[in-house]
Amino acid sequence: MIIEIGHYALVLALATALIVSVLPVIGARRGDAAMMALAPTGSLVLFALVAFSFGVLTWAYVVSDFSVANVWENSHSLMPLIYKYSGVWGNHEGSMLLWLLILVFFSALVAVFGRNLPDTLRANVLAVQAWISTAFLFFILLTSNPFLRLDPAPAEGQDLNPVLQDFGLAVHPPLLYLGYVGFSVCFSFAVAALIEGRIDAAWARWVRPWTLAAWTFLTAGIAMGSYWAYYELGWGGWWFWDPVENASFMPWLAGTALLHSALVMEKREALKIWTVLLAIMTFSLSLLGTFLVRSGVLTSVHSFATDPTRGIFILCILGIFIGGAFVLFAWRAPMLKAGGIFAPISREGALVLNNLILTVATATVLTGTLYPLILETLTGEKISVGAPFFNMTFGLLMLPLLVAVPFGPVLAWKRGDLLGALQRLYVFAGLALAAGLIFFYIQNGGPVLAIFGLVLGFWGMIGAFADLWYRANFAKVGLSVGLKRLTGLPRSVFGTAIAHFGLGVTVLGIFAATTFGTETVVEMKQGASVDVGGYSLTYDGLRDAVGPNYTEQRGHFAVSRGGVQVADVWSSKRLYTARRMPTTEAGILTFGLSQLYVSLGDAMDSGGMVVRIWWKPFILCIWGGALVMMFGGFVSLSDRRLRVGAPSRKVKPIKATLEAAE
Amino acid sequence: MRDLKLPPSALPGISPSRGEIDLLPCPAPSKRCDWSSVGASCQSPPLRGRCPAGQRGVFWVVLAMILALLAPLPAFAVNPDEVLSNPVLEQRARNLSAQLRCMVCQNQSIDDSNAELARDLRVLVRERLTNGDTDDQVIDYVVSRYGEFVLLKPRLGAKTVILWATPVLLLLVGAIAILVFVRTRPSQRAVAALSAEEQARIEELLKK
Repeated sequence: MIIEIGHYALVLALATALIVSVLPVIGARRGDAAMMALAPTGSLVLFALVAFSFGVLTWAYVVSDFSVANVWENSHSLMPLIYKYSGVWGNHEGSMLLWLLILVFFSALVAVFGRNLPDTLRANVLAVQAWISTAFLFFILLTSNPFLRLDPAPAEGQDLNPVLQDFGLAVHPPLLYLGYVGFSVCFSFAVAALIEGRIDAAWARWVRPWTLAAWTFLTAGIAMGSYWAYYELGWGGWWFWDPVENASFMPWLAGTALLHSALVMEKREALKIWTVLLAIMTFSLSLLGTFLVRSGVLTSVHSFATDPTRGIFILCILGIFIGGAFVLFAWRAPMLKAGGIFAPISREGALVLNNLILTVATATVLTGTLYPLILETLTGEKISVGAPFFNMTFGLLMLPLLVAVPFGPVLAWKRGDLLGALQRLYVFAGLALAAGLIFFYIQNGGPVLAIFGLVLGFWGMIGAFADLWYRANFAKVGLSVGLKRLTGLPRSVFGTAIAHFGLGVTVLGIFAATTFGTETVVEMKQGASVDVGGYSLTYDGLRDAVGPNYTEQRGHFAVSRGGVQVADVWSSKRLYTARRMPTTEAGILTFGLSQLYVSLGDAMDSGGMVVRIWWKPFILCIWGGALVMMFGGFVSLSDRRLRVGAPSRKVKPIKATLEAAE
Repeated sequence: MRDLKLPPSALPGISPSRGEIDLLPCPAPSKRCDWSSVGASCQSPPLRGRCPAGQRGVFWVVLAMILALLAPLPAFAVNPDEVLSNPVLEQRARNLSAQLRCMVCQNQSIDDSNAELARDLRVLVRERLTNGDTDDQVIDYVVSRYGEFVLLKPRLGAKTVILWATPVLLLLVGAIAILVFVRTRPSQRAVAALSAEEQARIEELLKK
């Protein structure tokens, strides 16, 4: 019965979404306050209904109600409880419901925190959010209903895919969706602004915290997914340029560009049209990613054809929203007035460069992802576009951007001084060069080109603080005054520095791990030893073990350094009993920022085991840097100027203004 | 957990490409890996390994599923017995392997894959290298046997010119657009310049 109520709540949600889609827009046109007031109330009701429905599905998973087809397909009574919770979104129907839940969650946030938005803008934004909700509610109810029943109810479920029985599943999709779907708010703001035909710096100020929040979650989500892939896969790769990864990476790239262009718009009222376009593009890429992944079209044309309803349905949603938004843009954008002017060498100029490169990079990833598909559809010719292509093109594009990052914050708005910036930065550049060389020397060399990568990483890390250094002006005013100045700076300045620092850390990790890492493939018998990365691993044989829903063979390795045992590592091969699916669990040992990664291969006829061991120096920097970026995002988000809900500042005493005028 | 043939995606539970929503322990048969075009050299799809599902439709999927129950745990990519004794050649082989696609996998190089076909290709690459082929010759040979599909970084040609030109063209177009934008802005400033009358007024005010 409760399952049917959950289903019914979704239908009610659809009705509510339809109301919020239509009436507030009419209200905004007519200036009808009552109709506009429907938007926030309706959005909250919508959120409550979808949350209830989601709760019902979760409940079905937790109590293992196998009369629900979705639960039967993706759960098992013996599964640990945490996977019963996370299993809710470990399948198509459930993950779409999570998508929707987060969408209406953001609508509810706008309703609650948007109290000081102009009434018409808020009504329009929430209405646009409701359009998206309506589309996805139709999609779920018509093609992907998670509440379908089975009669008679099976006694036992089919178990969740073992790959997904991991803590990663509990965290990664919600984080990713918070980012992915969070960009819907930017989209709605852009469309609402186009409907109203008015856009100004205040608009950018309202949009920026949403962009920042979505970007921060997306950063965390992607990093989390990358680390999950790294430890689950068993061969130490952390980014594969897989279409599914690209689907989440493209909104991140566009979102990063949006974050920076919204900054220009907020501060200088320039790049208005471009920012609106970027906001539309970012969410369009989120939708496109949903389509690509959900329809199965990327895997093969074949799987798209076996269940075309879902694919075609999302394609329609995609067409309507992206197409509609671009038509609206083409029609209304020319009415927006262009804003402030600036010289090519200026903070704005640097941010435009950032936008140019990030946009081209997004387009490159997009073309690379879709090209094989389009080419095959048009000509029947099959080609592959894989990691080597993306590494080359994307890598080349990123190089100038990474070099330029520290310049942005030290350039002045409107008209900057490149020579002055160089003078300010050369000490930092020198420090980065020295750090890179020392690092290279300590690692006992490698390809000389690696120095370039290391210096680039350190340049990003050290250069990130140049702006803070000069703002505090320690050199002139001394430590105490400098510190006082530093504490007086807005938090967003720190957010920028921290996020840019994190970017440098990630770059450093990528170059260090790829150039100084080693891979050893050996056949080991019990008692045999092998030296990797300065450590010695001794194989101690296999042992059988039994988990809650799997059996495994665990290989034990004793790790020693200089003859002293420092750690143990277990690497295992599992067999999940319900699905009879074999998996390997890599053994990972962390030493500081570096990791030793041990993976079991085949048993050989001779009685030995094939063992693959990687030494991954500084690999944790890759995700650590992303965490730092995320932290920077939160710091910036806590800046009071960005808190939309914060009470407006007290009006400054008029006297001060007069003084300033004199 | 590479045995599951497919990395957990950045969007877990969302990725049919990695078999996470399929009930099958392997990706659905893909039209893109058409065995008829691969040639006689690959008689059968690998029945175990990361991409066990064959390309011949339901029959092979079912067979692969049955065999998956019987098969031993999957093998790894490069195995010790494949490794060449000459480290320089081996390194070249690894570099080449990373550029070549496992024909029966989703987006995996033969260096990463443990499918039987990938193993055959790795051995083939090593054979050609020990016979004294250059890297280009090896690539040409593999492409002549398996087609352009095998290259993870497609070569520049009539069919791929748009792919390769996109970043370059966009960068150029974008840069030009920005230049035009920046160039035309000062003219607005000129329009907004003070008229002679206003200039006179300012001078008058300044004199005060």
